Amino acid sequence: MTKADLENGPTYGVRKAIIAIIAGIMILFLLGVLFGLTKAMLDNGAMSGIDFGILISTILAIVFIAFGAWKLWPIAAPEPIAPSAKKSRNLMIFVTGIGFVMGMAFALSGEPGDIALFSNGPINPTLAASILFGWLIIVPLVSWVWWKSVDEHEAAIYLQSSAVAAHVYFFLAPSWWLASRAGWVPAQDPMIVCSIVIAVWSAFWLYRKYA
Amino acid sequence: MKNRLKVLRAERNWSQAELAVHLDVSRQAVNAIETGKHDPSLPLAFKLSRLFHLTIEEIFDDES
Repeated sequence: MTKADLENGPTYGVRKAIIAIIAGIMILFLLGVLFGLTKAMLDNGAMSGIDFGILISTILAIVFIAFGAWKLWPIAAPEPIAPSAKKSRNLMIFVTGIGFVMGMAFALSGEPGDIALFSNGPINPTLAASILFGWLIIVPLVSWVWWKSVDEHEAAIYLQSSAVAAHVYFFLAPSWWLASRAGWVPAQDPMIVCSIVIAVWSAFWLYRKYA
Repeated sequence: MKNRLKVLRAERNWSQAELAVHLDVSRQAVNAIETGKHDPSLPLAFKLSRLFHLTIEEIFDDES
């Protein structure tokens, strides 16, 4: 097999699927444990040494599993990567990390059983200011640097996806607003609309990039 | 747009990832151009032209 045929070579699909499923389930379980523990500790207001030890152990276990999955992940051959693609990928990982931290902060701020992202209840001003700083300063800044680093193909599919997402918004928001005025559905929730638009944008973008 | 990228790449025994490094784009971009899902911009077409020492018309076929 020549190097030119590598992209048609073995993909180790089954092995990748097994690693992804097992590691994914374990990490999700541990994230649930981490979330529950943190929430309980914040509610109690005090953290003992044992609590701290359990918390650190859980975080280390998540990191260990993620590292193990990464090491076990089969690759046909080391794949070179262009500097711009590497920069774009690293920035994307960075933004995802920020999103995860913001999501965790949101989740921990809500009442038990409440979906914080879709809540319209009051929120701690310090937490709100921190999240707004991330959302209005850091994320746009990193997004701009990312946009300057992506290649033309990525830029094209990103713009195509944004057009699809914009059309979803054009049709969804007024329809919901009208249906709500007619009394058929509850009042429009901007965060649900925003989440649907972002989900469609992301799904179409990933589909066009990898399919 | 049809093109000869896959053949030209194979002649040099390059993988898609290696060609992507030469062009400073992602591997997915090379794949999209090869399969006709993405038509490259003029700057990228010229980059390919210089890389393979061929004219743009010798790499891309706009009549099919």
